[in-house]
Amino acid sequence: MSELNLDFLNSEQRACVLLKKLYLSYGYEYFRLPGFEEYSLYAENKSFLPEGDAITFTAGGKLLALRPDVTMSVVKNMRAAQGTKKVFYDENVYRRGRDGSVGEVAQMGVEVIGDVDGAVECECIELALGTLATISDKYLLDLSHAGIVKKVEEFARLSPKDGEEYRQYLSRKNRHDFERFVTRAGVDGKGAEMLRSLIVLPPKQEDAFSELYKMAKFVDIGREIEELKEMAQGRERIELNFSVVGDRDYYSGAMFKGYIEGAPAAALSGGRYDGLAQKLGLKAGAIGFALYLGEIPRYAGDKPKSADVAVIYNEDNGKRALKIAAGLRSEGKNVLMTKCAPAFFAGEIVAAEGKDD
Amino acid sequence: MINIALPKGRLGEKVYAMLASCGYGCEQYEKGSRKLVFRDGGGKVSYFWVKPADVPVYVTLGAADVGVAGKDVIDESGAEVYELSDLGMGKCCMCVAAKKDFKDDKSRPLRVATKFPKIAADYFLGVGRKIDIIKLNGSIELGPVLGISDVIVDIVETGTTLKENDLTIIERISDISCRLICGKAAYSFKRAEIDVLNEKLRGCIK
Repeated sequence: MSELNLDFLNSEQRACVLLKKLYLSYGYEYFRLPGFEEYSLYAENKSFLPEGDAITFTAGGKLLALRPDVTMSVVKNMRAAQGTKKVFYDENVYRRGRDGSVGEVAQMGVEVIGDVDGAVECECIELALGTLATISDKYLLDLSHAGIVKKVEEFARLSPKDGEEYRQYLSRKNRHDFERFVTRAGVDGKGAEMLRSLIVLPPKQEDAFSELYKMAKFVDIGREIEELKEMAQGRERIELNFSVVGDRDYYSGAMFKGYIEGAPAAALSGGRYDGLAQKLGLKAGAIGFALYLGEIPRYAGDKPKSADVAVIYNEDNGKRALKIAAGLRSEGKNVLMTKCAPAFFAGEIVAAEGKDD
Repeated sequence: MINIALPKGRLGEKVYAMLASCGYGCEQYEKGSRKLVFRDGGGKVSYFWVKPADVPVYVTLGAADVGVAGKDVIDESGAEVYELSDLGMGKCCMCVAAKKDFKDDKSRPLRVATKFPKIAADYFLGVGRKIDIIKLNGSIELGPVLGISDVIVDIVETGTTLKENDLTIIERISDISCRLICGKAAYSFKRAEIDVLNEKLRGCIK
């Protein structure tokens, strides 16, 4: 079969088709999910979710919630599966903002649950890069490692509360408040130096790894550095950036965010979330990412697609209008049949004149 | 080109003067003008004046690559941005204040009057105190004076207004000052330019 021309689709729909093809080419299975789950699933794992509440309702005496996150549903529905599962999805999530507003976000992503080794991690990064490349040729992937941050925090003897505060400075590259924090928290010497290094890590992989190796002389992070090296593989589009942070209870290894030039926020987000899988009763590793589809048309600069021609008809000439419209369509035009001209119509307007026989 | 959102008013003008002194001046800039956008002829920088509370909005939505905002505004917005520098201007602190004879009745939620509901909610969640928030847009000090709230969460600069209304600070939440913020996506693609601007600006901070 010849390649299908996708020009008639908008950039979001096109991305959706191309990404399905990409994920299928890696042998991932398409996974459909229910639109809602019992609210307790989300209530018990609130800090895994992005900010905002789930939208709840009751049915049959049960408190249910419209799905605010896909990953949790995938893990929950995979509990009975045997072996390593590689799936992709194309779903909407629903969230309530702080101001009470309700939002719907289209997501597409992949999840691997089971025996997640180095090869699977590399494959996931490769797929994340392939996903971004499908959308634009100007993209970057920021990569960090929850294990390194954890061990450096332990070396600096940060309490859990101080660790939480430190990760806020790390996520914002906020060095000035960090300096006040280390004084206040009584962290000094090598511990403070390493915590600071993660905030100001240079962007080039070579320089960043050299900084991490310096830390490895004092903290046992050799294995984590090698994991990052395997994933980054010297690729120009990957930068080490420890401002990518997540909840300690859920994320255990690599974490990443993908940016596309022109998009105001991260277009893709993912990581290794063994903690969540284990919390949901799976003795398995887990890694995955999600791409936020809904924003694509905005930064891709899509123009609204409308008909090329409007054929205006009345109660006396419907058949004539059908004939005219069919003729125009056979010339490859998109034709709208209507009794009155649409407002702000930019295309050609053709009137069906006379009366039907 | 770097797009910069500046807060309208004295603080924004002060920051512009700092930027101009380190090579980011614009011939189009006129003090006191009502023009909202101005750029330099060399295409290095473009400025626009926005309401101080809107600076994080422009930065997170990508209209501005960097912006200048108070720490209070950043924290209240919850914006996902990088905070590249503390500009050391507009120093004050975010505090919990109450009447001098205030005693906390832990058997009921604490009524908190504030212009900063997110900061107040985050703070009291952190200390494990249940609260009811009363959102006010100004004259916050009136809350405890007229009995509509037990405490207030507000910015304190000199403490004179508190004193004149018979209120006192019972807790300091955080230090506030003016920050240079940057969009995370913008930083990914304009890092070199933004780092140079940030370094030059830091050089101007006394």
